[in-house]
Amino acid sequence: MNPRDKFVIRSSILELAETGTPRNISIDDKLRNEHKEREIEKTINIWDSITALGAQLSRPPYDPYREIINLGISIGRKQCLNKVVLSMPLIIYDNAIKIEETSLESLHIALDRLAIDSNTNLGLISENEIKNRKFSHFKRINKKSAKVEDYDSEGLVLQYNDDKSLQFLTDIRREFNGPILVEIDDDFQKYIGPLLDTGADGVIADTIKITNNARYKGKHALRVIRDVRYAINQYYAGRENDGIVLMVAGDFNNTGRIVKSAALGADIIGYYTSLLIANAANHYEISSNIHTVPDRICRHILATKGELKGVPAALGYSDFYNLSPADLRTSSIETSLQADIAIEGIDKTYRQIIEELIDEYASEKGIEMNKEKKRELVVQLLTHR
Amino acid sequence: MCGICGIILKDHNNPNFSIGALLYQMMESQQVRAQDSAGIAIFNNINSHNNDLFYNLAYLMESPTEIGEYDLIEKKVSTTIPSNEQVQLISRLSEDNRVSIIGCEKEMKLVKNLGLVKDLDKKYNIKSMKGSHGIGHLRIATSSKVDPSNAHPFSTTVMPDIAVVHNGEISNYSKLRNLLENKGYPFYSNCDSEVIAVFLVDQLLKHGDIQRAHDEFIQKADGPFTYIAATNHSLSLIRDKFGTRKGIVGYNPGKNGYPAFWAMATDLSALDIVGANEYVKAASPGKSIIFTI
Amino acid sequence: MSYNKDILAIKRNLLKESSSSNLIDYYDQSKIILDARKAFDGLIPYSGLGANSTNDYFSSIDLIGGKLKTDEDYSDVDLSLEIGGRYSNNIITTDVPFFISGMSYGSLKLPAKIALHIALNKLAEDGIKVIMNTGEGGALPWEIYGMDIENSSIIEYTNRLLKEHNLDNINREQLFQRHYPLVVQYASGRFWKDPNYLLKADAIEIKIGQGAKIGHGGLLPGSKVTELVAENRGIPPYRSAHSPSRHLDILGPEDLVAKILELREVTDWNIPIIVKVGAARAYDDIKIILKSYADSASIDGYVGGTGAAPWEIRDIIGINTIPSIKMGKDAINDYYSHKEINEFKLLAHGGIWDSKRIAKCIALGANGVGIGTGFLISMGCTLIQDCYTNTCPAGLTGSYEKLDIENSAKRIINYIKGTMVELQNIVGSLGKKRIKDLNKDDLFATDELSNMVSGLSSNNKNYFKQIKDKIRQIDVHGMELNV
Repeated sequence: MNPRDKFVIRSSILELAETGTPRNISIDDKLRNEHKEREIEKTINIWDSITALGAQLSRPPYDPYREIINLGISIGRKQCLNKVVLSMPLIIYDNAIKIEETSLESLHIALDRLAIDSNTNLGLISENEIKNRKFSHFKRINKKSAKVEDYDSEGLVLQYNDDKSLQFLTDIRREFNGPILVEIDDDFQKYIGPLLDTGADGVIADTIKITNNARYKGKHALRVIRDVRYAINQYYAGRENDGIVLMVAGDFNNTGRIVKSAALGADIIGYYTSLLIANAANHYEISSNIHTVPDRICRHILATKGELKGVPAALGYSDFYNLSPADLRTSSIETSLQADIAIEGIDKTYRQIIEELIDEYASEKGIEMNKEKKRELVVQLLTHR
Repeated sequence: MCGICGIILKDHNNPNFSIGALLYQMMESQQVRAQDSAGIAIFNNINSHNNDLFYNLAYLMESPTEIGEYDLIEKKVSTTIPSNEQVQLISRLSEDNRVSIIGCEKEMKLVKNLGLVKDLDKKYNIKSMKGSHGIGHLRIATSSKVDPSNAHPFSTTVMPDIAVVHNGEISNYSKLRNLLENKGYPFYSNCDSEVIAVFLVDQLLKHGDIQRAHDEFIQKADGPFTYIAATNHSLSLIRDKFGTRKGIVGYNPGKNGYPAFWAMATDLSALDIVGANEYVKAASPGKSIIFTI
Repeated sequence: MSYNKDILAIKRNLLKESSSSNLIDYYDQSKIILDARKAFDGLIPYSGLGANSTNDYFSSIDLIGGKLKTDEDYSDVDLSLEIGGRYSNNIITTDVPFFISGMSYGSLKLPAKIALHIALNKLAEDGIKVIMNTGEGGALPWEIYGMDIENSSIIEYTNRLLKEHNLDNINREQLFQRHYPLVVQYASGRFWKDPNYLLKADAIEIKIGQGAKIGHGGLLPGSKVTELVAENRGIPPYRSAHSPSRHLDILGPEDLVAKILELREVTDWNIPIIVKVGAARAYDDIKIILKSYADSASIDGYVGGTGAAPWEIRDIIGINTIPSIKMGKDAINDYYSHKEINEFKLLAHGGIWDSKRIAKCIALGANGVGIGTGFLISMGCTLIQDCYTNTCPAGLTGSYEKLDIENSAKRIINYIKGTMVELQNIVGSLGKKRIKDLNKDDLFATDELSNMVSGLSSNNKNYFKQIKDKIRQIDVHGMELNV
């Protein structure tokens, strides 16, 4: 609801309250006219069109004041000896942006302070060397500079480029005992199996980069999360999942998006923008001060931590990682198609509804419909919507 | 969210005792909690002695004559798992929407029905069922439909002789179910409680330790729950880590003409009615109480 | 708790600027403010009123006909609503199918509560009975007692209450009377100490949750818990009042049954009991309420308002009012598949502000609707959503500005009477005599999604049918389809 809609609603009710006689036009009609007049297309923000099902009677909610809500996550599969345990599903992701020196320093101070004072260990991905840190550092490495003495961090991050990347991963896997996260591109379906076979402890999907590539042009970040999670599940079909983590990065700058992407299958979120905002929040303070900025970042993270505990509790979970796509509903067909989320009120995805209608049609007409034809019909109907 | 109970004789070599009558009393005293459906599972090791090579695949079939009625059918299948014949039979049955699969039985007899425990007794004469231990369940549906496939106790077709009754909610049901389905386990209902039986079977096939299986479940499962699980060698009561649902155990040393037994239930009244009011205690949150044979 | 003045100022300016030509994307701006707020005090940010729904379906579902203004006189159209009688001995009747939904003393300031009280009393004198719900914070003395009250401590408390707001000269005789039905809320916080709270009520509403913060308990920020509010609730002053997120003794359906039976016994099975849930798994929740000994279910949609809710919980959790009504109605129909339904009532809340929306909800299957924000707007609410800060510019939820009680009461009366006439016109111009006769056939959906979520399937503009036509077209004419 934008402020203009609010004014329409308010003026309409006030008209009634002041006169007490029937109006000429109802709120809904007035809003519709207003939108038509100003040619506002009904654009729906995919993120905002998703909501979660809260716990009520059929499932009691937990209460963060009474029950412990778990946010901790361990990174590292079976073969990883030194697992890293984070206190929240957040890793500060550099996002390939060159960060200013003082901001970086403030960030390090803040993360240290969080680890020491608030017992909150966050991860940080960066290619720099960070000395005397108290938080978990995931160092970004590439082939050329890899030497044993460079592995001074808790974890490593490398980029998948081509088949040589697999060889590189095999090599460092032999020398490094901490978790290794591999950043994937839009071609992940081809190599995710070999990647996991080689010993990656987690994959990083930068949704901004991936959706900029041809294969995912026009698709939403949620689609990427869903597809990567699906590929991982395929890999584990018929066997035990030994704790692979999926980290997603991109435009996840508030608790709502963190929760929604976690429900769709992300384990860890790459977080950055909000901290920059937090950093610059007090706009009347002209130069950012090395002492106050870390404070702001700490407070911001702690508030976010509170929210991340509050939401699963309200959904009836005592563990953040129990969120699942079944908890989500959407109020938009587009969203339902992109991320396979059920539509509110019907509890089915749009694709399921179409499939049911085709079955209904076939049985009404008494037609035998084979799977091939049905799939083709579904595709036709969904593309010519 | 329902009423559950379980009972195990101290002298388990007394398989001629009608344990069904005791279960019936306990269930009836808890009937006020739930009225949607009722079910029991009773274990008697005499059943299995004569046929070691076969066990029963039990399922409910919608009655062709009476609407809303279901017939219990037991098909003998070979124990050499996985036999082709069995796999085919199960896949055929699970596609049939008139059928709700109960599970595989060797020493166990599992019956369930819509309605009250009275109706269940009328149909299967549960009061006369004999055995060394058994469990009972009364259901009030929270999320899934009221039909026989969603009635408790739940068992599986992967391993014979396991039954679970559950009171509460497994809130991360969909996540657990996806994990197990991805591993290849079949599910036959939409009820969250089925995931307990499948999870325990997965654990038992892995390491065979029932205590460890329960501990794993408590750790992995979310939501308020108490459940009673029975295998041919054990009966156990488990509460979730916050202890949000009830679950109590009591002992009858042999009063009222009964042989000595342990009983467990949701409500104290169910223990009182069968005289199991000694050493009464509640299971600790996040802990399991296990009786083994 | 007070926020940086700056942040409040930014927010207010945003609203001002938006009335000029260049519209700002308020939502994104407010997210930035959200981050700033977190960084400022390290607390979970709250907000007031309801969530900003991206699609509430109200404007894409419309009545077939139905005019707000007509030349004909439809004043004989029956708008009445009865609640109760399924298990209770008493039935409460009202003359309009809408009521004032729960807004507690504490979340609203005293003058606003008094204005509502006086307005409803005056309406009752005119022969129009409207239900008032007390909200979570307990009732005020004049809502429970008459002039014959003898308890000196309550008289003394009343004096202090009125004095705090300089209302000493108010007519006590006018105040200490109640002619409208009062529904008291029985919430997880149990903020009441006077047993008469339950005994003198006309109905009890067990609040499991509310649309603005489903799965989260009620919340009153410390800045609003003044000494008198604290005294009324029986809690320490100036500390945030967090109700538990669930009734600590209601964890499942059988606990709800036990609780309702307990309340039934306290009230001699006389008064109706309503169970209110936030809209989420509406079908399952209403099914459970149907199985317990309740007379009515109340469902509160995603857009439902509040005095204070954690921002993200408000925005992330819940489903819209229209689909929740549809699911609730489905549950009732399934439960009573062979019986006549007349005693179990479904009440809907959330984003329902005027007669058209009321009519749409009732046609979809609700029996009555609750309105909160609509009444606040009539009293002057500016929709600034600062209800959690004690700095309400209209003086409704905060005490900085003074509220004109008499004028407010007049506006509330106008709003109710106007809405009533509009409703009668709508129903009458549709050719019906009673609002209960509205049904799904009177509605049509203008887009596919609204058709699906509202379960409208019986008229020409049915999108299911259109999709099936398309299927036939493709099936018959092959895969080449030009749309």
